[in-house]
Amino acid sequence: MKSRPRMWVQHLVLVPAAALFAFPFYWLVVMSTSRTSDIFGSPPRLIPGSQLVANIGRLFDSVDFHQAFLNSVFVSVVATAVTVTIAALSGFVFAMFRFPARDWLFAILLVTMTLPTGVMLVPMFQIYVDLGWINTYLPLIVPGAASAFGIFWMRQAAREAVSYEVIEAARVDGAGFLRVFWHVGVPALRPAIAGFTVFQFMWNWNEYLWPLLVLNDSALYTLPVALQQLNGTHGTSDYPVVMAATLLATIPLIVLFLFFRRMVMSSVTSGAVKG
Amino acid sequence: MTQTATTRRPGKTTTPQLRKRRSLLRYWREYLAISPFFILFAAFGLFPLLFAVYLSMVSWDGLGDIEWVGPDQFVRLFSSGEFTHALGNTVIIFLTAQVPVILASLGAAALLSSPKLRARGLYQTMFFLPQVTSIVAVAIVFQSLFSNEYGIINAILEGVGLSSVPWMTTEWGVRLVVSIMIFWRSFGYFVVIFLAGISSIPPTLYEAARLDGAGSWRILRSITIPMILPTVAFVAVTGTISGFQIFTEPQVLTNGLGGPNDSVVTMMFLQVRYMGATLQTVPTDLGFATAIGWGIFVVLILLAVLNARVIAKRRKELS
Repeated sequence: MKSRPRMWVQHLVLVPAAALFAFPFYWLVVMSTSRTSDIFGSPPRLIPGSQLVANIGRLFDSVDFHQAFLNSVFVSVVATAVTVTIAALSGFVFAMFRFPARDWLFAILLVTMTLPTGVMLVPMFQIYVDLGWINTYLPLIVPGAASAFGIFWMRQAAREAVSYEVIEAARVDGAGFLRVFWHVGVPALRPAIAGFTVFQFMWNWNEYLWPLLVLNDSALYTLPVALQQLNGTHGTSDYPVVMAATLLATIPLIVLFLFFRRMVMSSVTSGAVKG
Repeated sequence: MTQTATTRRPGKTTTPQLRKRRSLLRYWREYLAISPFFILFAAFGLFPLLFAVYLSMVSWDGLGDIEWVGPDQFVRLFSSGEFTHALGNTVIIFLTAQVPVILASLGAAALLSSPKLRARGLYQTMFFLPQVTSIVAVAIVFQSLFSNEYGIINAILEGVGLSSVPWMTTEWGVRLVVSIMIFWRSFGYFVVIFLAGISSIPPTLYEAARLDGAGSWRILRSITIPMILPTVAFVAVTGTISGFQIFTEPQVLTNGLGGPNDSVVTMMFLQVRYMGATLQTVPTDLGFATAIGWGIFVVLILLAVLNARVIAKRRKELS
């Protein structure tokens, strides 16, 4: 068959590419399991060492790392839950219900997606100051609670996965607005919701700019900010500690992603196929 | 109240019109369901935008008195050279990162989309994993990889007989590291999006093309690329917007300093610098920071218009 050698060519390109992409992770493991002297030695150490536990121990001795970890979990879970709920409901309504000015409103929503947020940095910051939101998690949760991108995604998914007949049938059976959403919309949107949830969680978990701007109290730091501070204070003296912290901050999302991998990938892919 | 009559027209996707409704109030549930976006956009989108008009006309360190300076901040924006330098840095980083990554991920998605390919999921996962990690973590790892003296990249370069590169202490070195970081981190995301676009193409199109004796390259050019153009358009627009607002990568990679001669101080980086939020390398001026924000705004709007034009033109050519 003609197709056999062609597949070889593809693997020939893809295997080295995948190895190259995996290398920084491997290097992170090597660094976080080494001694400082191994890292700054010549030739550099190329295989993982045995110092991981010792490095983590020094990390917990020097900074309140687990507090930052818990903060990140809290902010990410709350912000994600709110955003996904609003996006699913709004997207479903945009897709399946007809009401005056619907298409105009959706067009406005789409236009705001292309609106650069950069210009709003200072005014937003001042608004947070005036609202007394500095050193709280509200700036990380409230303004992003209704994601135009998420609503757009859910609307697409609803148009592809939900049929008007099912909705009408449910209505004829006497289901109200929220019941239709809950019993027809949510089950049909489940793959899209799962995919968006993971994306959104990752995004919240990794958010750096706003936590950096609004959180001054180190007890409130989320992981990226704590990590950056740690790199600033320990980066030149105790590199393995910084690397151990980086590893610990990275693992949860990798595990989460690997666990939901099929769901995320197939939600993105299958959602598009059904159209 | 009479407006509702005009919305009765059936659209492309006709909903069975079971009920006749006369009043907008009848739709309160629908409006309520979509209201969060519009309320939050008014409060944290529209209002800050108007507020930004005022803030760009003052000089203020955030603590003392607010001084009205009129258009001075915009004069400064053009005359000081800082903003144009930052714009240049942003463009360089964008061109050396975002453009290659979109092309490469399109190619990878085309490779991965072959139906007979084994281990597709594994490849996808490996490419996507960087996207999952925090930019701060990535920046810290890349700092180590590309460290001048102790970095593994320089050790490899020396090992194969080449001379080491002073990555972190030269302008182009740091820029290149930032670009590689962006490439590495965003590649998998684009691959997944493009794969989704490719898999939404009806298989019958491919079957027909194969029956007509079209080769892989021909199929890629005549079916795959035209069919995923809407996806590419989406990626190009969102990619440009995020690409021109790059901040975290250069900020963390250079420990907040901006690299030699501020070579990776992007527009956003410059704005945050004048907000006084990072290392105090310049006197805080919220007015100037806002003016920089307007500069970013104008640049991005121009890019969006350009994007729309290019895409519309391409679409016309292909149809």
